Amino acid sequence: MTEPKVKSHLMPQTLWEKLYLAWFFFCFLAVYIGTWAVNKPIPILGMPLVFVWCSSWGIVWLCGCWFLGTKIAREDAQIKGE
Amino acid sequence: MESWHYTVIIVIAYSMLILWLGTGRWTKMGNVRMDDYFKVAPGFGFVVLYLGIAGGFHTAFAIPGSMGFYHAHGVAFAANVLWTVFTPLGMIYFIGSRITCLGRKFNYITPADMLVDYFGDGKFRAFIALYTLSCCVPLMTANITGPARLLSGGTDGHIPYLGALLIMGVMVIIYVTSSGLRGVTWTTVAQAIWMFVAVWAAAFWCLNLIDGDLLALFNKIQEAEPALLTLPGPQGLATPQWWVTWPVFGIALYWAILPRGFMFFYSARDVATTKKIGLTVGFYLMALYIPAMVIGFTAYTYFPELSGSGADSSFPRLLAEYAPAWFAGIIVAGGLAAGMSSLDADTNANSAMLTKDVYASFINKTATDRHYITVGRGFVVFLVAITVAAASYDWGLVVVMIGVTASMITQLLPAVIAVTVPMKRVWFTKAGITAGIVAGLGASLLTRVYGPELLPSIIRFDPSFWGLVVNVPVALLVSRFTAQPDPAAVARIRAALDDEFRPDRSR
Repeated sequence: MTEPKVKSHLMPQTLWEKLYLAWFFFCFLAVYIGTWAVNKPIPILGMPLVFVWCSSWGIVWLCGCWFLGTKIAREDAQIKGE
Repeated sequence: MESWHYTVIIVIAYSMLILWLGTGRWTKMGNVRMDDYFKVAPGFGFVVLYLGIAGGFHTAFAIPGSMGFYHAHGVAFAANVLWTVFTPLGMIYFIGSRITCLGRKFNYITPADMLVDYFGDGKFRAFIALYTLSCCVPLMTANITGPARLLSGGTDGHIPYLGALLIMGVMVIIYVTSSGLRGVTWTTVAQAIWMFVAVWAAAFWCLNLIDGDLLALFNKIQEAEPALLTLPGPQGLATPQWWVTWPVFGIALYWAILPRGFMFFYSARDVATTKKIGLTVGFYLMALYIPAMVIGFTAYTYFPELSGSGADSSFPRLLAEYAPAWFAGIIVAGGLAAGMSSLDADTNANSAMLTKDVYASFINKTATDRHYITVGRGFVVFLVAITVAAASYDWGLVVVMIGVTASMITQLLPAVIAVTVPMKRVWFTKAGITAGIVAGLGASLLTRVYGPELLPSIIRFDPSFWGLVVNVPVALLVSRFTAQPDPAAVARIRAALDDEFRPDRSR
C-alpha cells in the first residue's frame, strides 16, 4: 500500500507556493465568512455593501494570486533551466 | 420595418459570423485523427484558449439567469465570487494544469482516458463515460432552453420557441460536425466577446433608464424591497448553510471537471498556458457578472410583481418593452452566445465519450480514425436531437436538473484528485472510486429530494456537499480491501507529474 520516497503534491514546496496558498485561503475566507460581518443595507458608491465587499475581495484575490503565480512560474522556469 | 425585424437581422448577422468562424479554414485539421477532432492535438495558445474557456464556462445562467437571480434573491448572487474566482485560481490553476500535463504526455482524449489509465480499463471506462454523459444531458437542455426563450420573446413570438431551439441546434450541428473542438473554440472566442459586450452595454442602458445614478437605483430598491440588499434575501435562500456550500460544492468544484473542461485542458499548448489561464480568466468570469446587479435591480424596479421562474423573464421583458429594437437584438444574440458557447462544447465532449469510451472500446475496436470521427459526427446529431426534444417540453425542472448535474459531476472529484495530485500513499482503487461515486450520488439525491424535510436547518447544506461527505469515506473504506491500481501505471503517471510540478530543485 505504501510507496516510499514519494513526494506528496498536496503541500506547497517553495515560499511563493506557500504564499499563494495562504493568500488564496485568506481571500476565500474574507468572502466566505467575512461577508456576514458586513451584511447591512448600506450603499457604497451607490452599490450594496455586500456586493461591493464580495467584488472587491474578488479583485484583490485575483490580483494577489496572479502576482504570486507569476513568481512561481519564473521560479519553475529557472529550476528547469528554461 | 417592424421592430422585431431588427432583432431578426442582428441574430442572422450573429449566426453568419458564428458559422463562418466555426467552419472557416482555420478550423480544418491537419490530420484525420480523433485526437485532432475531439480535441486539438497541437494545442491552442493563450489568447484563443483563454476566450474559449471564458466563454465555454458560462452558460445560459449568465444571460438572463444571473439577472433573474438578482431580481429574486438580491445580493445573494454576490456569492458568484466564490466560484468565478475559486474555480480559476484553485481548480484550473492547480488541477486543470495537471490534466493538461497528463493529457499532452499520454494523448488522452476523454476524461475516462485519464481515469482508466490510472485505475485500470474495462467496464470502468464505460461506467465513467455513461455516468458523465447522463450528468450532462440536463445541462445541455438548460443551455438551449434559456436562449431559445430569449430569442422567441425578442421577436415577439414571430420565431416560435421550437423554431428557436431548432435554429440553435442546427447551427451547433453544422460547426461541431465540421470541425470538432476547433470549431467549438473559435466560435466561443467570438461568443465570449459578444456576451461580454452585450452584458456591459445592457448595464449602461439600464443605468440610463433610471437616470444614470446607482444611488437612485439603490434607494428605489431599499424603498420597494430592502431584503434584496442583504443576505439571506427576500425568500430566505442565502442562509449561512447555503452560502458555505452551494457556491463551492454546488458550482466551483464541478465547474472545472465537466467533460468540456477536460477537452479544453487537453487542448492547451502546454502546462504554462493552462496555468496562465487559471491565473487570469477569473477577471473575465467575475467581470461578466458585475453588471448583472444593475440589470437585475433595474428589472425589479419595473416588474416587481414577477416571482418564481418569472424572475428569469424580467430582463427579456424589460428589453422587449423599453429597449430600441436593434439594441434588444444585440442582447438576444448575447444570450444565444452564452447558451451556445457551452452547448457546443458539451456536445463535442459527450460525442467524444460515446465514440471513444463506448463505441471504440466495446462495439468496434479496430476501425480507422476516419470511421470513428464519422461515428462521432453521428453522435453530435443524436445528442443535439435529444437535447432539442427534451427542451421542447416545458417541464420546469431544468434548475433542479442542473443541480443534479452538479451533484453527479462533483462525485468524480476524488477520482480526479487521486490521479492528478500524487500523495505518499495510493488511497483509492477502482472499486473504491466506483463505490464512492454510487454512494455519493445516492446521498446527494436523497438530500436533494428529502433534505428540506429530513435535515434540521442548521445542517441543510448543498446536496453536492452531502454527496462528498458520504463518497470519500466509502471510497476510502472499499479501497482498503480491494485491488490496488497497477503500480507501473501509477509510477508512470506520478513521474510525469513529478517532472512538471516537482522538478529537481537541487539542480
